[in-house]
Amino acid sequence: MEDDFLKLSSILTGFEPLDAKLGRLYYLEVKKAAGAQLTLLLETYKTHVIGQPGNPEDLIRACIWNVQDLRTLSQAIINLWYTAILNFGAVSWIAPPEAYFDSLLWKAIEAHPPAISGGYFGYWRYPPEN
Amino acid sequence: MDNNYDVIIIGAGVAGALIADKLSAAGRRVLILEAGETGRARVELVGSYLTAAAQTLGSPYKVVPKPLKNMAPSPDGTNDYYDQPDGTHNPMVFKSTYERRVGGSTWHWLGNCPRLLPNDFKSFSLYGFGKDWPIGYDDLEPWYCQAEKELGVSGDHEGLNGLFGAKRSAPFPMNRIWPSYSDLKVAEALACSANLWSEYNDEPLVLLSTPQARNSAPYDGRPVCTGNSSCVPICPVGAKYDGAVHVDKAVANKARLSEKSIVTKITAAPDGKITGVTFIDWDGNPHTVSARLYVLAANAIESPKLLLLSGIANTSDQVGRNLMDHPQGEGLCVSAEPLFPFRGPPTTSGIDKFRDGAFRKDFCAFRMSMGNDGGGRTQSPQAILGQLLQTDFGTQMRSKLRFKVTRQFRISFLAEMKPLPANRVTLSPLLDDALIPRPKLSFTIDDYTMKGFDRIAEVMKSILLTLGTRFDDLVLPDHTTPFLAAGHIMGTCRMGSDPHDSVVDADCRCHDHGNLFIAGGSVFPTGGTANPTLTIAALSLRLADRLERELKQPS
Ligand SMILES: Cc1cc2nc3c(=O)[nH]c(=O)nc-3n(C[C@H](O)[C@H](O)[C@H](O)COP(=O)(O)OP(=O)(O)OC[C@H]3O[C@@H](n4cnc5c(N)ncnc54)[C@H](O)[C@@H]3O)c2cc1C
Ligand code: SF4
Repeated sequence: MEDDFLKLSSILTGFEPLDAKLGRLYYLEVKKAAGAQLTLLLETYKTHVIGQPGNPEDLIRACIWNVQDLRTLSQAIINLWYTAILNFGAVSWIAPPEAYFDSLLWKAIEAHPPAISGGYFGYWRYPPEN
Repeated sequence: MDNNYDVIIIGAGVAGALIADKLSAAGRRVLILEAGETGRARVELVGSYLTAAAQTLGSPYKVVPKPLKNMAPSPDGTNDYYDQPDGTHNPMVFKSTYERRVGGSTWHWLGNCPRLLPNDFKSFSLYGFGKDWPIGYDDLEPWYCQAEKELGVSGDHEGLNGLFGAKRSAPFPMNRIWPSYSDLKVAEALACSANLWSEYNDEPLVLLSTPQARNSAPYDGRPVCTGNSSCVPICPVGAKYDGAVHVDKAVANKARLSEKSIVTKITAAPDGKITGVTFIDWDGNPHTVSARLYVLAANAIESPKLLLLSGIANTSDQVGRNLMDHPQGEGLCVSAEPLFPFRGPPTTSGIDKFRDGAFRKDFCAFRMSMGNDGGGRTQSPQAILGQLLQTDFGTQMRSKLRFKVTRQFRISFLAEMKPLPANRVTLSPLLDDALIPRPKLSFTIDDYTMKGFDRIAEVMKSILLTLGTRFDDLVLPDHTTPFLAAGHIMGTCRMGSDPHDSVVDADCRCHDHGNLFIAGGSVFPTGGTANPTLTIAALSLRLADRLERELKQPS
């Protein structure tokens, strides 16, 4: 299950590979918050996406993204990886600072999380390296 | 507590701390009474900020563990401490906040350090609004140089020397903070767009490096800025100046710092001489102390509040009046090319061209600053993510997010407002946990500034359009948009030569009390378009010099 969570997270976030340690932490937190919903999400992923012909993003759109409940949970999972904050149902959980350092939002925009050094004095004068 | 002090300073913000440092270095016996605490170490404050549910200005600074009573509360919103109409429904409320802790509000300031301009001191005689200062730019100039050294300001001496007649007699102690990639791109675009501002004159707009109290090299035992980009509300490494720097120096010079000491009364004898101050500690016990001279440096809301509570210094009826801020607003666009925000300090350059001119007879002057923080306070990357997630996920969402956020660009303005007597701090019937009246605020912005908002929007629009944005992506402020706060609290104990319409004289001495002085933004008769702290620091250093001279006289 945990492995599937990481693989699905990867497709949902558009980042490959994701940090496995963080994946474990997030898996446990999402399980606490979503319980059976998460099981259903991962089962759906296993049955309809893994090993199926076609582009995984298209398959996920069809069997997960287009199903309201699964989509809500998927959105919460993406948000968690991107911001280190889980908001699902009544649950609002903030990951420890290490997770914030790795949050994907900042990677996606080629910046760094505020409060962490982006490098040497003056690096901001140049565009990011990659 | 003994009473053998030369000077008692109320408030350990930058104003009080600079004076404490200078006088203690001269061997004077100094007591600093500070309502807040020294509190936790910087690294723990950063931790609290990172893991706060809502990352507000105050989130690093909450007292931990949460005390039963919050004896020295700081505002962290419009209505949690101030008594004024509900800010969620009413845009015309006072929105600036401060931090009551050792070092004061510079813990969460941004650090921009422009000087006032020569004409800012003469707004009444030149433009017919406000009130002239009893001192001019030239009186303050040497103190500006010293303030830049004390705070550690990085700046472009050549670029700023002579700006609207503001001569600089010394270079900055450090070279300018490097411009951001986005500054360079914006400057390029503006250089190709002369004549857009012909109403003002037809030179192209230029970006000037914003002078800022942030190290461009190791300075005064503090490290160089490495672009952590979280200056507001906290610099994780101390590359940005804060008032604790001078509190530490003063304490090393043997000044006595009494934290968790909330002053509740300043007592005056019938002849006007101040005879002592009363404070309570965080357990609620009262204490009384006295000295030869007293300096009130509790910021432009708490200082007038304390004078009103004490029933002193107010024969002019000006205490608490003319409360000012610099109303702010932002314009946003999505540039044709990526500008890569969220790298480096939140702003590194500005446009100073609209800070002075004959137009000030009709509407407000303003300064613009260029953002390195995407959608600024209007649209966070988290909000854009939230919008995209409504429809997209995976690589598509990731690339749309990158596309938009890396191209987002913000310009802010900071406008001058008129000092209005009805904008004021009074005592609320509501009490805080220490049973002290909370500040009651009345605040509005008049047409002079509102009229300026529309002009500002026009200028912003033409700048943003040079970046090749689509009209749909333009967000512009106008007079119908609620303004944002700058945190620049000024004007509530103004200085002047006439005791009938001012609280302190040109030396910051209370007209009514020969041994009581006021330091901080409260003494500003007008606010100009400079962020106030460098001027606060310059006035404080000048005051320290006056106090030292006074102490040399027999008592
Ligand atoms: C978000 C933000 C950004 C800002 N950015 C800038 C900027 O870029 N440039 C700029 O120039 N300015 C900026 N400012 C403004 C700047 O923070 C203030 O001008 C400056 O901190 C004022 O210094 P001060 O010493 O006068 O007051 P403070 O720093 O507020 O210090 C006053 C001290 O007095 C203490 N005190 C209050 N009441 C009592 C009492 N009864 N007894 C004992 N002690 C008391 C308080 O606890 C406090 O420590 C910003 C402000 C904010 C909020
Ligand atoms: S950019 Fe970062 S290192 Fe530089 S002053 Fe701001 S918070 Fe400190």
